[in-house]
Amino acid sequence: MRQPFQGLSVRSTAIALACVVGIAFAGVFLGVNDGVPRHDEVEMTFQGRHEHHPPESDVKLPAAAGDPAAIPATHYSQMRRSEFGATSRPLPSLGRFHAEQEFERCITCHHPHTFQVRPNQADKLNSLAIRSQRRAFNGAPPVIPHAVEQTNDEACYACHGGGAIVGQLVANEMPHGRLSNCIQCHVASPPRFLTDSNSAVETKVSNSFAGLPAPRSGPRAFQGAPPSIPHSTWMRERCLSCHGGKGWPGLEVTHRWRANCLQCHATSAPLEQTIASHSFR
Amino acid sequence: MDADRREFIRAAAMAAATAAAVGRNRELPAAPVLPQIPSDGGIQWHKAPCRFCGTGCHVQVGVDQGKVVAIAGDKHADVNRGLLCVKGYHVGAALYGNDRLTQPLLKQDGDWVAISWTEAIEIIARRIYRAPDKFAFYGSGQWTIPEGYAAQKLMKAGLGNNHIDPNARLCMASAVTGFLATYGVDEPAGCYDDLDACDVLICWGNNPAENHPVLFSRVLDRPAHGVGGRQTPVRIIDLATRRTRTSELATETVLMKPHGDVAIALGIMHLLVQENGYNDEFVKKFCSFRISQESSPTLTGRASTFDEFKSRVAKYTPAYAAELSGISEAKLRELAGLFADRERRITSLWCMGMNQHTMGTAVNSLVHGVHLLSGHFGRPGDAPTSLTGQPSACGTVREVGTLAHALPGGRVVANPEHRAECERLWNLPAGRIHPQPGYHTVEMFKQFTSPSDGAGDIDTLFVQVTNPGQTLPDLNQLFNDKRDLSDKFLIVADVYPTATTQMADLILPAAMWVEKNGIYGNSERRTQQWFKMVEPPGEARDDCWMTIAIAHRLMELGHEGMRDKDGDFIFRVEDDRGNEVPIWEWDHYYDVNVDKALFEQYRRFTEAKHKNLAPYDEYVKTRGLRWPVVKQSDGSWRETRFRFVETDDPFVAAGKEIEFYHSTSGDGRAQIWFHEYEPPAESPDQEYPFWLSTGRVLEQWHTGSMTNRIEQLNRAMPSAYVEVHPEDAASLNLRQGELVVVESRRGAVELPVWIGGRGAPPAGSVFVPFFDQSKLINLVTLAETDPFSKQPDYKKCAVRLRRRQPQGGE
Repeated sequence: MRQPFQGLSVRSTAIALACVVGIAFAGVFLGVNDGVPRHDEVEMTFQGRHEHHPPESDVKLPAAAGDPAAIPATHYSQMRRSEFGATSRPLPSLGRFHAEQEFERCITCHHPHTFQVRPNQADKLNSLAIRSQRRAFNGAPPVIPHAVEQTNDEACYACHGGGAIVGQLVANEMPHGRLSNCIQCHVASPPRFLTDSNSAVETKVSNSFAGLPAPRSGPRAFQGAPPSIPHSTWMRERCLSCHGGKGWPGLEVTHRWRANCLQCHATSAPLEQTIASHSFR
Repeated sequence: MDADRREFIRAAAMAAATAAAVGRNRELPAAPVLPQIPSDGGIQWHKAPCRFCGTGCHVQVGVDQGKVVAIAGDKHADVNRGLLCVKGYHVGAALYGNDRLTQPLLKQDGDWVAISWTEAIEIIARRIYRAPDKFAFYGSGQWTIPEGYAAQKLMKAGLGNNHIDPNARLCMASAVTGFLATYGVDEPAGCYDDLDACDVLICWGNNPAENHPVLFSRVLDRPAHGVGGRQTPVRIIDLATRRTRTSELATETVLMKPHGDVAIALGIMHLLVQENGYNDEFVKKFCSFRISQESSPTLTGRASTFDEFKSRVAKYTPAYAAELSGISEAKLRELAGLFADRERRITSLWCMGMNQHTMGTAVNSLVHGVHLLSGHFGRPGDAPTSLTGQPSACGTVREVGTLAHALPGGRVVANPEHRAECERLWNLPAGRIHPQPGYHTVEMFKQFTSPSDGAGDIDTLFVQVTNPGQTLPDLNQLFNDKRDLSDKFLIVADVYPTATTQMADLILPAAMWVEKNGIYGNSERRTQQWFKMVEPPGEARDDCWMTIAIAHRLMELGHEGMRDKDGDFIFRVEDDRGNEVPIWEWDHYYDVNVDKALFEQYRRFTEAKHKNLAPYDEYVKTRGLRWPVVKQSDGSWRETRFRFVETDDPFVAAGKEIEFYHSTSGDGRAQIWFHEYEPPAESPDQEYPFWLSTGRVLEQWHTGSMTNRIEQLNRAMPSAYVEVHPEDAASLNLRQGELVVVESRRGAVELPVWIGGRGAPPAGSVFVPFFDQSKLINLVTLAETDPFSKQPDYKKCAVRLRRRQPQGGE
């Protein structure tokens, strides 16, 4: 946990996270105010917003207190007010969510060896297609496919830290350990005002880059052999974040009681770039 | 083919069936089409440094069937350890924008006419031959080392003309003068390893979370990587004039006024001296004091004493420094307290905030001085470290010396011994190199855009690998005036149409990045090599080849400067049997490794200032080596992480602990400078009430000519904007996204307003990124420069915001 949360009790952290989750989802599902103060009602809008975001002058910070010469620092609550709009990329949908819940319920009584997930081929192809739309090439970090208002790490971790399923939507668990500055690698969506229909901004790019596509399945050495992994495992060390219960429809592992994935599924030397680069030329 | 097609139809049918079967509870988006599977998985990976910033991350470039298809962070690279940023992950797509320049284009009667390379080279050579002194070469911190070296040699060794300067003048010239003034030799003593060892990281007016994200993550993610071995989390102090993404991730943000950095450094010095917080032993052993002369100040200044230093900083009491800087006295005391604590390791990071500054040299020197005065120098984690914005600003500009006043290897044209050494190494007749420094960037463009019958004595300008039509300050004065001058001839080599090519008389299509061999040098003295991996499109060719072809044509025309003392071509390259290879002919350019030949030549220049480089082949085997690189007794080559420190730097004499072996005082000591605070060149007033600062964003790199052709990046940040504080927006009645005119005394630009965006300027100041070619903020900025480095200040000028006149309503 990063420093701002130190010293808070677990309980208040949980409440705070719950609030973040709640607000984030409310935003996603209900469609939030885009932060545009209508120009004929600026005064009112700002008044209204002050209830939630006190202006800088109202914020008493210990460092600036008692020193009129100091520029008051912007309060944390001041930092984001305008939403980054959604990309055109589709959000994942979890049709088999019920099956997952069933699974969790069933294994409380039934031995898991007898329960097998049977991935649906159509789901799989659909998932692969959505997945490929979200990245420039197989192995690229996916772009953020939904609107966000907060791009700080806590906002991302609220859903993606452990994965979350709400209604039709799924937030995959991060497949890598906790790293900072999520948007360093995952491209965020643009500020909404730039993509409004009345915006004059041209966002279309003409580029013929054809990224490495993802194969539909890992190659098998022989019929019945465990497939090898058709992508790099670098920063994808948590297999179940995609292949587990909160992962992609059709890509679930069929045998969830097995814990050590790499015991049977081999990595790919070319995709892991394990060949030393100076051996070329 | 047939199987693929059947697979595709099957997939589409299945997706459609799924969608139909889903029903109300399960609304899937319209089924997208799956891309084809790779033919045979025959992807090949090669190493290369990233094309973008000065961090110097290594990427693995995946190539399939002659095209770059994938990029991965290089797990074996010390710099980035497998991580990249959004730009790095998408760097491969930078090659494939559909409007790549693919043939030489000559402007004739207002139209672009495609011409052959032979014609293009002929036109350039004849213009130079006609008036060699009126030719100027404007280059780049994105030049590879061999490209910069070839340009440098063409100009200074061939034409005897010093009018060569790079865009890095706009970027890190003040960092150079800061290092020279303090240590007598350029470039950081520390390296990125300091980021693993520091307890405190102070960001002086920079925003590494967006502009050097991999380095910033290296600090933030220390616990996750188990690096550093120190238990306490790093305290990150963000000294800033506006809140940024860095502020969000930093431990604390301290907002300061523009030019506040100078006052903060002076205030810390005052407190260290007054309250005995300075490191007496370190100062006595390793430091001297310097002060600017009253008239015609120089980089060496005059010798001073500790007593004089004390009396001069006495003025900068906490109250006065707080007033000048806008930070509180308590915060100033806290910062001084950190430096007074010997146990803590403190790394300072800075970039454009301290460099693009009319007191750039002064503030760079002062921050070095704070570290020296407190002894926070020379231990891992204790380092004043400046970062660069371009991939080879250090390697090509600072080391090869592609600056109007410089010669390779840290030498200067004004020094007769340096000229003589270079003439010997280049095998030139004595006196070939011109003793007068040439025009620095701002002056070069002033000359080029002034009428020839007036003051403007540059009439032909060759621009390679950069985009001055967008990056120069005060574009109306320094660039746009060229439009009306028919006798001025602008040659631009680039990969895409830019604001600069729009003005060009001759456009040359260039190969980029892994379409050619290359060598870069990053911010931590690391020299990095890569090989050509794919073919450039159309007729695009290497910048280095262009320079050599022009030189050869000049020789054919009879220019004696293109021959050395023995009558050989100055770019003579031989094959294994000693025969000259005609590398000026494109068909033979890759018959030999020209990069290697030029690098081996250049390497001999690097020993004078102890910036020793290893042979080319050593760099082929590694992910870069940090100079000085010296050969060990077992024949292996050893890099240096910490310069001037006996434990690591091979050139420090035994028993010295720390030795500044290029000290300007000649006694192995570094100089602690005193500079008086001066206000910015222009401050807001009633007419122009806002501060304007400009800068970069995470997704777009510099002028955006590459990144805005990458879909994932451009979609995320498709337009420049002006960040406005909510209170200012309210008082001006501006709404989110509304177009507003930002204007200064020099020019104006229309931008959408962003309130509460990623960056948050304090009330009374606005911020505009410079990446957007359609919204040129440099029409508005100021051409005032630092007196020593001649670097302009892009961070401070006065503007006003004006609501656009209503349109279309009669």
